[in-house]
Amino acid sequence: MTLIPELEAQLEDAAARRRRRARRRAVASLATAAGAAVLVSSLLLVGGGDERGRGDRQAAQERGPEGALPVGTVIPKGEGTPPREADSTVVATGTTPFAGAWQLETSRNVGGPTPGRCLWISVLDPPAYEDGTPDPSGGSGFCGELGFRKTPGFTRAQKNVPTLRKVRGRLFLPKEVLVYGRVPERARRVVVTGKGGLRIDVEPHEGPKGMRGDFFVIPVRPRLGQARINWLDADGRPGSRGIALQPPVTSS
Amino acid sequence: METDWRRVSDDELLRRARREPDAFAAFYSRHERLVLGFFLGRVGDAEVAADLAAETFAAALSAIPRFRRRREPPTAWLLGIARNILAMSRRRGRVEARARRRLGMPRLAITDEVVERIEGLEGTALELLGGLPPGAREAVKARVVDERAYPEIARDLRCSEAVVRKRVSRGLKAMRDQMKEPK
Repeated sequence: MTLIPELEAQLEDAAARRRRRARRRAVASLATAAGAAVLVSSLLLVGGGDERGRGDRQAAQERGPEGALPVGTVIPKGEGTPPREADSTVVATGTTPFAGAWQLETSRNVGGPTPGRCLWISVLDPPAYEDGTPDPSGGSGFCGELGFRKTPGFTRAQKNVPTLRKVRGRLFLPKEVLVYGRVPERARRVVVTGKGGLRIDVEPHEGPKGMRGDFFVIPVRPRLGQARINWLDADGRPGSRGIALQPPVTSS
Repeated sequence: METDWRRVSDDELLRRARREPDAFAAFYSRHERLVLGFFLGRVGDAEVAADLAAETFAAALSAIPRFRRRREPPTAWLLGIARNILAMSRRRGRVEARARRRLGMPRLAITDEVVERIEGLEGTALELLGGLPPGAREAVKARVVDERAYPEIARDLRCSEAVVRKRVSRGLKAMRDQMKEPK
């Protein structure tokens, strides 16, 4: 007999509900494939602007980061897609309105010109371009010291979703830019600020035990004009001089 | 015919849990004491340990589609989730209930009887750890109690990572087998 039989029963019920929901999703997917969702997605692309609808966003949050590995998982060297060059540790996972589920990993830098560690973000199910062309790039990353020279312990990089591309002179801008990086452990918030009172304020993700620093991923729209990112301590004070975001976020 | 889950491996239980709710209940039943003992040793309160264990198993149930047998046994995967839940709860100053809310699980009613049963676990895990062969004891303590990384443990124990993983896996299995029946 278990120590908490009520929990055993609850988990069995929850597992049964998940199974029923998975079946319903499978039926819904078939309907989508039959064309029912084509109209809806066209409307979202024409009228939805740079973000998916509120309902989609809420649904994405409820679903959680599908396909992401638990934080702390070590993907051994040579495993995963693409195969990892060194043991890679999952340090944060989450979901954004457009890109969907993402996974942030860090690994030792092997063979590269810069010492230190690498930080890599994977978009687990990268959305296609407006014309339906799949985006082949699901990941982006950089290697180096734990912080930028002028902002110790604090780094920033960007991943465009979908990747920027130019076809016959026409530039396809990303729908969403994932601004990601590392902050010192004393960081309580990470804040993007810009013109017109823009302020996006998030709590950093705590990495696995024993991993130095915390991590953040902030989805922003392209073409925000001048925008910067910084971290705040427990008293709300800026932790560094801040770092400017890069195009296409800052292009107008 | 009803399956005798006792004969089914952890990997197989997690694989079948995607389709058979009974399989996850069996996985819970098999590892309940290990997870409760893990939390009890860290928070020292049976009710909080029960809440944390409930959240851990709910998170594990949600994570089953992402579980891939890599180089860690399912018990280490489960304890990894437990560690994350504990860290997140400490950080927020309250027991996380996100996974349970997502699964629509009601709040767990912890009776005095349940508290008593959980408190009976205190010290069991450490006693069992002491009963392991020296190699497995050091490996399990370093990985599960001290939460150190495999490469670091391998360096200290002067053996390969694969050997450490095997010792942790065997040690946890031995402890779990002994924990099947209350002492």
